[in-house]
Amino acid sequence: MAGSWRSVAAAGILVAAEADGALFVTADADLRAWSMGPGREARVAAVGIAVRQVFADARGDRVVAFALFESLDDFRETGFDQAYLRYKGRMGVWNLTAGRYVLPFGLLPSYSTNRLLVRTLEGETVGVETDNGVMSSGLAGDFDYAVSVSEGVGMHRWTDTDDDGLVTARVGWESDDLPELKPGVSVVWGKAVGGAHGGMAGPRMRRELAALDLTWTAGSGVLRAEGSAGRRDGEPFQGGFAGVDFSLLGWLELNADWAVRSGWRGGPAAGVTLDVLGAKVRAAYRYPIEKEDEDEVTGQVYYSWSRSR
Amino acid sequence: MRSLARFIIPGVALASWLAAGSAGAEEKYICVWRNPERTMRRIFPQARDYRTVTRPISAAAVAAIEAKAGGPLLPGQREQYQYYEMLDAGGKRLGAIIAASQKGEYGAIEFVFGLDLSRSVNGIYIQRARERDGDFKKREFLDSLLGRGPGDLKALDALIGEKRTTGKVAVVTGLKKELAAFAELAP
Repeated sequence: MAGSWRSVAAAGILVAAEADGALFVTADADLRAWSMGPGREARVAAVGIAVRQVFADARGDRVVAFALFESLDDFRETGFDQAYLRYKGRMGVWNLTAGRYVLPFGLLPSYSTNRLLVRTLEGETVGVETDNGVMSSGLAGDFDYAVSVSEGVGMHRWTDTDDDGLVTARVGWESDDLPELKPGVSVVWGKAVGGAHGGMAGPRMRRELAALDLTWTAGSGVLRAEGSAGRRDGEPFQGGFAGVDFSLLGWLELNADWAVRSGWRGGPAAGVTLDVLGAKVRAAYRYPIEKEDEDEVTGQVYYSWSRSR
Repeated sequence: MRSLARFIIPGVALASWLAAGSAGAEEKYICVWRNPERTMRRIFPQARDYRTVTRPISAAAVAAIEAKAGGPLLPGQREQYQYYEMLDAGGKRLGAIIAASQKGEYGAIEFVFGLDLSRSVNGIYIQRARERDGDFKKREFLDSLLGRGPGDLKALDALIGEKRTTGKVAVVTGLKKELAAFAELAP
């Protein structure tokens, strides 16, 4: 089974690279150094290459093939973060996606923090950021919707470890008359491992949660917030995240975030992002409330490169 | 020390690779547009589908566009030009949608506009901006750009008005570049 999934993904990328039509290629690199308590370390946190091919028929764009291949943690872990085919219905009213894709839960569809120093709560709530399955999504007026049925194994595996799947769904609202405000409501139900993105998979647990999310742009600032509540393995769970980015100058942004979950575990962070010669240079200080001696300073250099044809 | 070496060697290799491929390719100001159909339907309510079109920009075309627009294209705008052909139920062309991006004071200003078959602006919306002054988002200013086309490039500057905010200048500058590029590259 795992072999056939890989074959499908590899064939998809090969077809995309060879086909006529709109092709988009993006590569990025994320280098980090950090100090936590007495420990210090530096590493290549991630290197990725993404390929997106749009196939059109006589009536317009019809199929999108997308793959994001990553090497993480000093090249120790390598694999597909995403690899999917999306069949586009007319004018986005409905779309069908199959493969490994970003789950429709909370801020995830619009805000990936993999290449940021921000820490959100996906690992605790939905468990995984991307997963293998099928998803129906689309638009209805100012609303967008997505419903996914997936395996709950994340980017760690191509096959399920048991027969329990994961259902996620989100409804969002966005209007051209009020583009500053983008709220959403979502639910997750089923079993999934934890760990969100890369690294060791956390324990597989039953997740029955609902979440509200909001993205609000006000002047030079952007606020992103998400609150979730429900049960994990039958135990009550509450979690919350708020993050603010404020553009102080064209090349300097201030960042702050705070993610907490049941028992006030988590803590605040503050940082800066500088635009230096086309690269993003970031630094952040994080203070975990429950482990004061494990406060953390992180530095990052991030660069992305894109082309299309 | 070991982890430092692990960091430096691939880091240098990676930086060399990216530097070799990055000449003119850094796309800081490329527009990120989620759910494009939402805005497309507002500008072309009769549209039933669309097709992504990507055209390479030659050095001669860059020079011609910059001459018409009266200013330089930004990095990321000099190699490929992309727009969306809007189609009716029978696959007939209704016009085009262009997602544009221009440098503001506090980051990129991203906006989307439509061109009808006569290549005149028939709708424009600001998608994302971090400017503190919001004059350029007001409907009055955006509606003043309607009906303008590639033949109006010189007249567009007058629409900025007496209060020349960064946002208004960026939208007009971006629109001029896109109209010039469309005239040069779209058949």
